[in-house]
Amino acid sequence: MKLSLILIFLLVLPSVVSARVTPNDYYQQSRANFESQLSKISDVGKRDKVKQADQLLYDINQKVCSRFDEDLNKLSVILEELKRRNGVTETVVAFGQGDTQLDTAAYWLNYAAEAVAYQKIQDYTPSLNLSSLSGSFTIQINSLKGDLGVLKNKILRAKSEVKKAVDQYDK
Amino acid sequence: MGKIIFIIIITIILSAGLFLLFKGKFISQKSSPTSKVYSEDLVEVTPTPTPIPTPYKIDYKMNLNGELESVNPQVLDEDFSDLESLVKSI
Repeated sequence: MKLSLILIFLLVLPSVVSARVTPNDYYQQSRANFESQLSKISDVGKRDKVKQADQLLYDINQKVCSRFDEDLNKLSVILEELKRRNGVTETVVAFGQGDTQLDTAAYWLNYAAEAVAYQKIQDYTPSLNLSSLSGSFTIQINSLKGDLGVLKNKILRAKSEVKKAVDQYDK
Repeated sequence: MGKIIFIIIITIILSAGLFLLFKGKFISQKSSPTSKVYSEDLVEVTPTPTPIPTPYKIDYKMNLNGELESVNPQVLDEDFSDLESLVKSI
């Protein structure tokens, strides 16, 4: 009996594993759900507004991330110039702590840049509730605001590390 | 007699296992969310081109601390104003 149960378990397991989904699948699923719910909205004007709001969510994320990219670009150029003035050609960073403040600043800059890149690919497709369409969007707006706020703090951290380096090296 | 029954049971279990295995694969392929995105009933959304950050150049004589002051990452209320007013009208 035990043997039979073990055999059944071993044979069923692969079929469960084969149904595993990737992050992209979640994205595609949320888009498919969105489109499916969208098609249920009978009012054409309202449907257009929902599509427009969905697009705006994406656009805002990209626009703010683009601004953050410019900020990081500036910080990066400042750090490079600081290194040039001090004749430093390379940075060595391990586990977030460099040997010098220049290294540490480079680490936090890289950390912030990766965070911006990650934020750019985040999906804010709303899970549409037909009885409260605006509520569905409000949830995603708040989520986007929260994520961008966290990202801003990461850039500010990078800025403060670059400032420390400038204060220390640019005399 | 006992051995025959045991072999029959094992055969049934193996058949059931194989059936579940292929069924699982079949279902995962058929109902995969990835396959749905290509279906014709989806509405096409035209992606907005991502703006490319403008290159930033620094004057070699410039005060770096002064340059740092111009770095001011912000999430503005204006960014969300259009969306929020649109959402209110839905």
